Amino acid sequence: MNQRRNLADYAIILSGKDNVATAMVDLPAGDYMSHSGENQTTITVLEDISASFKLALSDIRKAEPVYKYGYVIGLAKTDIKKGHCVHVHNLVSSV
Amino acid sequence: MSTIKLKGYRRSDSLFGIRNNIVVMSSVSCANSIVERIANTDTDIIPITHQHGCTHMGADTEQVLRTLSGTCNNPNVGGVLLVGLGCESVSVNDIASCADGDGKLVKTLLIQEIGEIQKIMDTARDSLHRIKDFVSKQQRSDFDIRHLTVGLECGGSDPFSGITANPAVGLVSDRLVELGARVILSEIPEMIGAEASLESRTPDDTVRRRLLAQIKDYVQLAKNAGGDLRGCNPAPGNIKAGLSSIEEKSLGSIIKGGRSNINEFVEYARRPKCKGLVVMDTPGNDPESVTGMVAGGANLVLFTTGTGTPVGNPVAPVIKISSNTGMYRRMGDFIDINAGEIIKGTRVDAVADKIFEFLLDVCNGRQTAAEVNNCREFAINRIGPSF
Repeated sequence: MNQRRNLADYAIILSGKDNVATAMVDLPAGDYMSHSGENQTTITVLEDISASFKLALSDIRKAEPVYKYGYVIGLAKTDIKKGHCVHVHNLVSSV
Repeated sequence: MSTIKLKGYRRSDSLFGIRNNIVVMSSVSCANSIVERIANTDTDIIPITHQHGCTHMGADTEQVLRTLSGTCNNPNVGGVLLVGLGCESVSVNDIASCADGDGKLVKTLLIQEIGEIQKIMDTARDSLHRIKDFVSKQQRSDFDIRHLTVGLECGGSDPFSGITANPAVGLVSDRLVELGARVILSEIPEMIGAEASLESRTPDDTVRRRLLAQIKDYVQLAKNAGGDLRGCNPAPGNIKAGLSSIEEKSLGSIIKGGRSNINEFVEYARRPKCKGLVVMDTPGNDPESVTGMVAGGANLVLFTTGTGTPVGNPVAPVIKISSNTGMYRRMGDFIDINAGEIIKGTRVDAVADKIFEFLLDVCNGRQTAAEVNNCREFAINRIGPSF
């Protein structure tokens, strides 16, 4: 367990409402610990995610909103699994 | 509530300059070379030239006049020599009559009236001598930070702008608002997609309606010009770098305005009445946006950048904040604070503290990179054609 990497060292969650984190540095696939308040959860990053790209923190179903900064940045184009990269291939602007 | 005292030049009970600039300004583009020639005689004098002042219509004439007189009225200006041709639509007298008398000396000169170049230069020298004498007698005195106006700008954003530099500036913005100062958020086209965030913290119905209508107008203006702001934003380069939608890009941009309520919406180059966070209608074009906020009274501008830019302003210090360390290393001469360290683990509030301390130093006289480099962009946002 102790060898698990800490997600906060790789990515930032900008608001408590967000269902994506943004990678600050290249984020390799693998298991990570994630802390939110007193809760400690684990997340398996399913693919390598480049710096400044986004990671799904939970399963997001097709047509559900994607939150960053606490606000909707678009809708899921397809079902997105927790741990996958979120970008133009699976997110569409709702403007 | 705690307060902070700064040292500035008193223009009135509620207006203080953090610089005591002497400006030579053309009222019309026909006077630009003469303005440059006058300014070349003395390094203490700041030339302001532009491409406007005549052969434009209604709203443009008003906007050009408002921008020029607003720039003269900026509290950082202690003296102005206005240089006109004599037959233009924005006259030196129109500009001068809008400029404050308090704590500031404004003189005018008309090229057609004086005639010969040597006589013009002699008249300018006499006027500037009197302006310098007036300005040199002014001393810095204590003023409360609540009399400060700070503009916010971002230019050449990258995907880190919205998670390093802009959130750090957002914390500074909130702190200034708490201290009773005024902060101007601008660049309406960069708010498309972020309406929900802006709406939720704009309590006044009229302000909210005007702001949302203006955002919509920009979408339509772009369509009328044959473009689609939603289609080209984020740009291919943005997408390649990880930005997925215009909402994400805009939210990352407006975060530099922090989380305070929006109290007022003002047109381009208009001085706001309310304190706290206000929004000004400016385009995303950096020099035009900064020029509008400074004409609206901004003492200084916090300017975040990802790709790097030298843009400054003739009368207001512009503080450059880089969003990534790579650019900071390449363009360090142009940058005051590097927020890129947040990527390596420095806390956002620690960088915000650094920006705030630097801002206080700049208010008290410390020069910014843009000032050291004499970067003095001046560009008036234009509405219609020339005739």
